[in-house]
Amino acid sequence: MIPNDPLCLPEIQLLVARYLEDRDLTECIRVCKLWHIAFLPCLWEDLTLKYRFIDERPIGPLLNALQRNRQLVKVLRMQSAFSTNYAISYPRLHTLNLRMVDIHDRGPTPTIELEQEYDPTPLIRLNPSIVNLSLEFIKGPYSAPFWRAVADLTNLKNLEIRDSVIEISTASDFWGLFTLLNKLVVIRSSVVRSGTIPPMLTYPQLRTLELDQ
Amino acid sequence: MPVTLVSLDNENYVVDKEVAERSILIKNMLEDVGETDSPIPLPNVTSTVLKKVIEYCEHHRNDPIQVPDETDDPRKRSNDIEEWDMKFMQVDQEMLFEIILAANYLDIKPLLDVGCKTVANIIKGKTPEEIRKAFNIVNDFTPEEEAQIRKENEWAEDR
Repeated sequence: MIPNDPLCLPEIQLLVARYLEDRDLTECIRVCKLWHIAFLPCLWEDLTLKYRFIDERPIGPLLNALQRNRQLVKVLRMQSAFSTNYAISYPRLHTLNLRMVDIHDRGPTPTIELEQEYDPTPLIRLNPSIVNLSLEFIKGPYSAPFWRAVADLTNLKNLEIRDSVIEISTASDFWGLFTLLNKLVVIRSSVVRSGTIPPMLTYPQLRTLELDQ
Repeated sequence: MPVTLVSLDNENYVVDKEVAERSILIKNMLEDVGETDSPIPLPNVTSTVLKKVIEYCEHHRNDPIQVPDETDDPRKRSNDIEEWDMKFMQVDQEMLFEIILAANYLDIKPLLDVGCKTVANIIKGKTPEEIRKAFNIVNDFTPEEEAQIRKENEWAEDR
């Protein structure tokens, strides 16, 4: 590396990285150790894990790297009926997009074992820093404790729910969960025992509300 | 009113105030001292680089002040460099890096952006080996380490 290399200055690395795609960043981190340290955070701050990287290669390099780099992750998009091995605490996580894939729709992936392994509740429990949460296809036996865990996210401001079944013991429990939200979107989902919205609840900070039923 | 800029190697350059003020650092200095004839020393910039930077500022003297864009997407495009800037940036790598460092020090945001876009465009589509060649970098990874890094970051290759 030549002296006076601006790529050694963090503020310049960030500027350059902003113009690069992930596939370029994956090349950059293999150039040399300095570049590795420089560009790894840019790559890992916004993580997209499609299920073929999770379920089809169960435990391995990715999981080790997740454990090691977990403090870099700010945005996590997970697309999977994933194993609880991936329930990791990401201290700086503010946005989580979770798209569960129905086990029966997954085609021939015979290594799948117990349904309880795909409970996403521990992941939510381990990440109280979540501000933006987007959920798709949340249904199944884990549903009730899962929504309890969502309700306990004290920093949560924006919640989007799609194609899910929301199971909570009483109606006011459900609608009471979200009194501190700025944004609530519920699309193609049903609430078990929801009844009507209890009239006593107010949503003082709610700015966006989208419901389709 | 013209302003005199002095490079690291003591070359004097007389430029119009509006040209010099493309640099936010100089603009702030001039605002602090008020009307002055005294030359402004720029101890971090050599004359070769300063000449080049002044050329950029002359060309862009009438550009509107750039407003920081607040788009949600942090990822930006690097293929929108205008033709004059593209030609301006056709320099060797050492000069390119010097320009970036000078733009950073002098706080000339549009020039810094063009410089970083140019670096990004050199990186794009290249393998690690090609990047090393382009930037004269020695590989200090073993083949095993490099393969391991690749495996750990496979997820990012097709999003």
